[in-house]
Amino acid sequence: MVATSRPTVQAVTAAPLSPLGVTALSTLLAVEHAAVYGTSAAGGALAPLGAPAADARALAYAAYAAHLRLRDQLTALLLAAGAQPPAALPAYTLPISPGTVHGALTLLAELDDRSAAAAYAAVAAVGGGTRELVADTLSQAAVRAQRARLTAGTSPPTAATAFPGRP
Amino acid sequence: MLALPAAGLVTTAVAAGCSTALPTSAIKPPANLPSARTAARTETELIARYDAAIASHPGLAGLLTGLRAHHTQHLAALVALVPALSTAGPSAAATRAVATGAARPPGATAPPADDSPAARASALAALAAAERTAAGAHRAISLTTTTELAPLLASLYAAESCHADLLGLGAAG
Repeated sequence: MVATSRPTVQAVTAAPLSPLGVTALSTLLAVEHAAVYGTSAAGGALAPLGAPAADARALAYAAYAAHLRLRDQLTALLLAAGAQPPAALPAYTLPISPGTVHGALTLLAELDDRSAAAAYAAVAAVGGGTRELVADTLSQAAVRAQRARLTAGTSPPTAATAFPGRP
Repeated sequence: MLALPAAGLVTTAVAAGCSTALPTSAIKPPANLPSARTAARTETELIARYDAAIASHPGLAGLLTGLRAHHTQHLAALVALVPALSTAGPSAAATRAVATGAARPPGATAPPADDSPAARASALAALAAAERTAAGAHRAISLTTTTELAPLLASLYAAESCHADLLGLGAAG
């Protein structure tokens, strides 16, 4: 096996990207970089909080893994299209402090809401397997954000939103 | 089926005396009308399911009324994006009736059925399955429809996925 430094695209056929598609996926990738950082920070903050933080830790880990995977898929798609994928920043200002279980869950919901919004904005700019990836990203981010809100104690009808991702 | 609304619109336009310089979109049904109609039918069916479940299980009304409201918003958003939905086609009357809250399913006036915890859990599981099916239908349309309609359909796919997840958690207790 030859090791490769480039991430592989899983289940997404690299389709030609329009300039609009490149911009939309680059914006989504920038959001994913921040989400990888933020979910990792949430997981780190939750690590010493013991049993009461177990559910939140599981959500943080699942979100981290999902954002990491999507980051790699988007990077590979942009490279395959001949575009320069945006790099991650060294650090990000977290919109919410993850110092408590509630804070960490609110941060997780916020990060996935942002991911859903960027995915929503990208849907019309891409087609084929890339649109599939973007639509599934929107749905999965919305479900994770809802789970984080529910775990934070938001009542079920309020935790759900009518139009995930839509501004 | 598509020819009828088109003919109706042309007749109206000509009768109104604007037969010249009409934008094409005013004559032909929009390209995304079949997709929008399918999505609207999915929403209408979900609303009817919620009405039946709320009638049978008043204890679930708090949760279900909130989710049902999302579906009436979904219908309204589809009509806002594809106005031909509300003026053309066999489902237009049903769409309007549901959107204005005029529709009442046959089961709504029936006496409450089995409202045991087990029956409630199975009602929630059935709704979750219906939401999952609807999510799949919206997803399929969002992948192939016009760029105008695709973002809304992707959002509806996400919304129904969230509903399915929420109802599934409720059914599991």
